[in-house]
Amino acid sequence: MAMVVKDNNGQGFLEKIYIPEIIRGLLVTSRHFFKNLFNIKQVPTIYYPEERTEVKWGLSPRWRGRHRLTRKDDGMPRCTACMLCATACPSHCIYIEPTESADPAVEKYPAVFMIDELRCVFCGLCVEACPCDAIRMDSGIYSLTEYSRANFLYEKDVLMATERGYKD
Amino acid sequence: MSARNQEIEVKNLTINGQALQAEDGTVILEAARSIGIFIPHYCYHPKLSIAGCCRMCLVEIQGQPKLQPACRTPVEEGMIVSTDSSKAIRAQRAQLEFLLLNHPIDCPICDQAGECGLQDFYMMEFGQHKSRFAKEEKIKRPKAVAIGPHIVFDAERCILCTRCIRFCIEIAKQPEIGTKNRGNHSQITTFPGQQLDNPYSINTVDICPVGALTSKDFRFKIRPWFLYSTPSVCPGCANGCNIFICINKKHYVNLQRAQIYRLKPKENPEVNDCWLCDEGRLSYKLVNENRVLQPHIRQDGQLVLVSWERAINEIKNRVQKILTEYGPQRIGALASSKATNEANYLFKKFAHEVLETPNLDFLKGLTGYGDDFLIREDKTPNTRGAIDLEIGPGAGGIGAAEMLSPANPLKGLWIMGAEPTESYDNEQVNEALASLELLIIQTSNFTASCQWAHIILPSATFAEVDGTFINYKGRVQRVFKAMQPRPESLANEVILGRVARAMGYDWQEHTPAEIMRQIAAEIPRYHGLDYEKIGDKGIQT
Amino acid sequence: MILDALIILIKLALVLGMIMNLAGLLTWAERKQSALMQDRIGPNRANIFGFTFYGLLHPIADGIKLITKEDFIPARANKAIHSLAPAVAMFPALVTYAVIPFGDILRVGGREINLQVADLSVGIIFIFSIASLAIYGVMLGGWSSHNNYSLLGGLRAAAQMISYEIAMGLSIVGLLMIYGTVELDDLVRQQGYLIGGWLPQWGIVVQPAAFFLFLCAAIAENKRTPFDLPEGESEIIGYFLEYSGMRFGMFFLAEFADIVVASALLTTLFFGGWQIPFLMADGFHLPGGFSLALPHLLVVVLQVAAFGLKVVFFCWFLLLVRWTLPRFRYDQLMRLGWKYLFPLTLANIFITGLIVLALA
Ligand code: SF4
Ligand code: SF4
Ligand code: SF4
Ligand code: SF4
Ligand code: FES
Repeated sequence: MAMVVKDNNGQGFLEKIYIPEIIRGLLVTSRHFFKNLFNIKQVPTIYYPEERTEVKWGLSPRWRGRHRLTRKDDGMPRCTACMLCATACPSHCIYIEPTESADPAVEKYPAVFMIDELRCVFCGLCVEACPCDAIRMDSGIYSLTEYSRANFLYEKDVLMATERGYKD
Repeated sequence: MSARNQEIEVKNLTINGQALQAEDGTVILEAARSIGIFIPHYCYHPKLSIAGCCRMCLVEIQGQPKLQPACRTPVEEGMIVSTDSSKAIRAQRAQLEFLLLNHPIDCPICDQAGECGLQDFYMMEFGQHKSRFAKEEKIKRPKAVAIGPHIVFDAERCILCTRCIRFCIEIAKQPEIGTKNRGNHSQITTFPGQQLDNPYSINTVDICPVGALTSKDFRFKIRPWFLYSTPSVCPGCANGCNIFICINKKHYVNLQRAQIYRLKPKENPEVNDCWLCDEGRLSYKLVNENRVLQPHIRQDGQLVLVSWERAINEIKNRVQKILTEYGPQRIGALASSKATNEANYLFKKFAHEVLETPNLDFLKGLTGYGDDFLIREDKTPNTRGAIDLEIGPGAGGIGAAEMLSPANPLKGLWIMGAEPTESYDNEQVNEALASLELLIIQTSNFTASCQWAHIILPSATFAEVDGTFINYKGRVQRVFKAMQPRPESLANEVILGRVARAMGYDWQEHTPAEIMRQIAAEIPRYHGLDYEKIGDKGIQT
Repeated sequence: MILDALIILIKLALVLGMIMNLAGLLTWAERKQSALMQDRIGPNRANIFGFTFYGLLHPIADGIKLITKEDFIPARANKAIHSLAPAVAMFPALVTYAVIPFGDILRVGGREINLQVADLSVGIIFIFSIASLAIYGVMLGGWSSHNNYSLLGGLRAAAQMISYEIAMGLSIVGLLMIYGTVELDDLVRQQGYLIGGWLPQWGIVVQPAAFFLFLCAAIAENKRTPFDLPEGESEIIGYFLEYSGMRFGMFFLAEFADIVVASALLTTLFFGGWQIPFLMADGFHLPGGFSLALPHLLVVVLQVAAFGLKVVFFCWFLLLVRWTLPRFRYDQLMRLGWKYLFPLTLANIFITGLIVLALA
C-alpha cells in the first residue's frame, strides 16, 4: 500500500486562514452543548454500576476479558505448556512451569500457570498464539478488582474454574 | 597452503554457479558449507561416520542421471553441482514428506521445538504444515520412554537417522542401541537388557536432529528460545571441556530468577571436539542449589546471618588477635583447585602479605572415574593452575595434609572454595577443624565443613566470574561471566581485596584481566598471556 | 473616612468573592460543559442525601480532597520557592481585577461610589504589568521542583507567555489610540457613545481585528488548549508535575481565575464593560426617539448585571474554545505568535493610526 501524504494545512483559502473553520468547529460543539443542555436524556451514557452493557446489549464475542484456561473432557487443562503464549506475550506476564504428565500421550502439562493481570495489557496475543485453544479471553469478566497486588497473580485453578462468560 | 598442496590434491568445482576449490576427499556438503551454502541434512554429522540414510541432502550433479547425496559424494575435478535446482528442491520436499509420514508433529509438546531440524524445514522452509497422510493412519509408537538414566525417547518423532547409534559405537564406544524391525516399522531400541547409560549419553540428545531423544534433566524446564549462551569451561574435571552456559533471557518479575538451565558442549577440536560427558553436563547444579547467600558468623554455637561490613570487621579483629597472640606460624591458608587462577593468585598474595603465613597449600578435591576420552580422574578444573602458580608451603610452612591432621599446630585456618573432606579422611579433618579457634570458609555452597566454620563468606561460582582455568594438559582457557553473582555473594578475588583493605593494606581493586597480566608477568610459563590472547578457544602453554 | 474604608472593603470582598467563586464554579462548568459538548453526562455522583445538584458538589468534594491530601515536596527541591510558587501564580489573577470597573458610578446619599476597587490612572498598563508577573509563578514552580520535566514545562510556559504578551499588549494599542485613554472606567464610559446615533461605540465595533488578536493572545496567556503546551496534562506534563494537594489546586485555580480575568478584560475592552446599549444614566433612549426613564439604582443594578452576564458568557465561550480545538505543535505556536499575531498587531496599529489621522 502506497503511503498517502495528506496535506493537512487545508484546501482553499477559507480553510487555510483557519478562522472560518474554527467558527464552524465552535458551532458544531455548541450545537451539541445546547442540544444536550435542554435534553440530557438523549445522551447515550450508561450509568455503569446500575446499568450494564452486557445486560443491555450483550458483550461482543470479540471482546477480550479476563483469561481463562479451557479443560479437556477429563477435567485436565487443555494447555500443553508449550509456552507459546508466554513467548508471544509482550508484557511477559505469563509464567508457566511445565511438568511431566503420567499419560505419555499427553506428555506434559502446566504444573503452574500464572498470569499477572496487572501487567497484562489485554492484547489477546496469547490467545492468538495458543495452538491448543487452551487459553481464551471469553470469560466476560471485565471488572478485575482485588485488595492486593499479589491477588492479581491468577493461578491455574482460578483460570480453569472460569467458564465461558456469554452465549454467541 | 602451497606446502600442503603437494600432499593433498585440490579439486576445482562449481556449486550453484560459484567456483571453489576443495581438498580431495571433502564431501560436497562440507565444500558447500565452506562457501556458505547450506544443504539440509539429518544423518550426516561431521564427527561421525557417514550413513547416507536420510536422503535429505540430495543434490543435482551435472552429467549424472540421478541425484546424489551431498553428504557422501566426494568432490571431483570439474564437478558442477546445484543444490537449488527445481529437481533438487523437489527431491528435498518429497523426502521431507516421507520423513514426516508417521511423524506426530506435536511440536507444542516436543522439547526440541525451537531447535529442531525437522521443524526448521517442514515449517520454516517448505511450509508443509498439512500432512497428506491422515492422522489415524500414522503408525503409533511408544512415547516418552526412559531408555537410560538421563534420556527419554519418543519413537514417533524419530526419523531414523542413526546418529545416536553411530555415536554410541564410534564415540562412546559402548554400543547400547540399534534399530529393530524393517521398513515402515523400523524403530530405535536399546539392546535387550541394556540401557543407554554410557558416561556420554546426553550427547545423543544434542546430535539427535529432532525431539526423539530428550534430556531428562532439561526436559520441559524451559524453551530453548528463552535461553542465551555464554562460552565457558566445564568445572566437572581436569579436562577443561569447552561449554556454553545457557541462562534464561527473560525473567518474570518475582517469579523467575536468572539461573542456569543447561550446559552444552562448545566445539573445540583441541579439547573436546563437540562432546561433553554427562557428569560435567550436570555439574551446573551447584550454581543453582544450596548456595551460601549471605555472610554467616557463629555466635553461641549458632550460625547467624550478618552484613558484609560486620563479617569483615569480625575477620579483621579475630585474625589480628591470632596474629598478635600466637604469631603467623599458627595460621593456615588453603586455596583450591576449583577456584580460578586469578582467585588463587590473589589468595597466595593474601596469605603472604596479609596473613603473613608460610602455611599455604591448595586442596585437590574429589577424584573418581576417568577414561581415555574426555573424563579425567581429577574432578576439579584447575589443579594444574594451582600447581603452576606454585601454591604450596613456604619456608618453614606446613602443607594441606599436615594442616588437616588433628596434630596440627594451627589456631586459625582460612579455606577458599574447597571442601577438605573431599580429599582427606573425614574423621581426621573433623577433629582438626573442631580444634580451631578461627575457621573462615569462603565458599559458594554449603559443605560438610561449614559445621565447624566460625565465619562463612558467600563467594561466586565459576559461572558468575571472569577468570581462567588450566586443564591437565596445561591449556589456559577462559571462563566468562555468564550471570551476576547472587545478590550478596562476591567473586573470591573481590572478597580478598576487601578484607585486605579493611586490614589496612593498600590493595587496589583489580579486574580479573589485570590479575591475569600480573600472573603472566610473574610466572615464566605464562609470559605474555592476557585475556585477548587466550580468547574463547584457550591457549596451550 | 471609616465609611470610605468600609466601602472599599466591601468592594474588595465583592470582587474577590466573585472571582474565587466563579473560578470554583468554572471547575464544575468545565467538566459539565465538556460533557455536554461530547454527549456525555459529566459529574453526577457526589451527593448530599441523594441530591446531586447537577454535580455542583463535586468542586466542594475536590476542594476537601485537595486540602486533605499529602503536601509533597520533592527531596532535592528548593523548599521555600517550591512552596511559594503557587501563591505567586495565583496573585496576578486576583490583583488584576482591582482596576476593572463593574458598574457605573453609584450615587447613594450624596456619595459617589465608583464601582471599581481601585481607580488607577494607569489602568490598563497596570493590568499588563501585573499579568506579566504571572510567568514567575509558573517558572519558579517548574524550576524549584528539581525535575527535568517540570523544568522543561516551565521553560515552555515562559517562552510562550513572553511571546504572546507582546501580541496581547500591542493588540489593544489601537483601542487606546481611538479612545485616547488608558483609564478603564473612562474607556468603558466612552463605549457608551453611539456612532451615527444608533451603533454603540464598543471596542469590537471600532477594532474588530484587535478583538480577534487579543482573544487569541489571551487564550495563549491562559495556557489553555489550543495553547496548553506548558501543561499538556494528558501527556507531556508541565511545570506542576511535582505538586500535590492544595498547592496543585492553587495552580489549577489560578488557571480558572485567569479565565475570569480574561473574560472581564474582553468584556471591558471590547464589549462595553457594564454598558447596555441605549441605556443611559436616566433610562433607555432608543434610536427611534423612544425612551424609557428608569430610577438610578435600577440602572446601576442592570449595568452590574450586564457586566456579570457578559463575563459569564465569555467564560463559557473560552471553555467552548478549549473543548473544541486541538492543541498546536510548539513550532506552530511560536510561528503563530511571532510571525502572524505580532505583525498583524503592528499593522492594526498602523492602519488605526492612519484612520484616526484621516478622521481628525
Ligand atoms: S492478553 Fe496480551 S499481555 Fe495479556 S497475557 Fe495475553 S499476551 Fe500477555
Ligand atoms: S499457548 Fe496454549 S498450550 Fe501453549 S502454554 Fe499457552 S495456553 Fe498452554
Ligand atoms: S521433532 Fe521437531 S518437528 Fe517433530 S514434534 Fe518435535 S519439534 Fe516438532
Ligand atoms: S533417536 Fe534421534 S538420533 Fe537417533 S535415529 Fe532417531 S532421530 Fe536419529
Ligand atoms: S545427510 Fe546425506 S543422506 Fe542424510
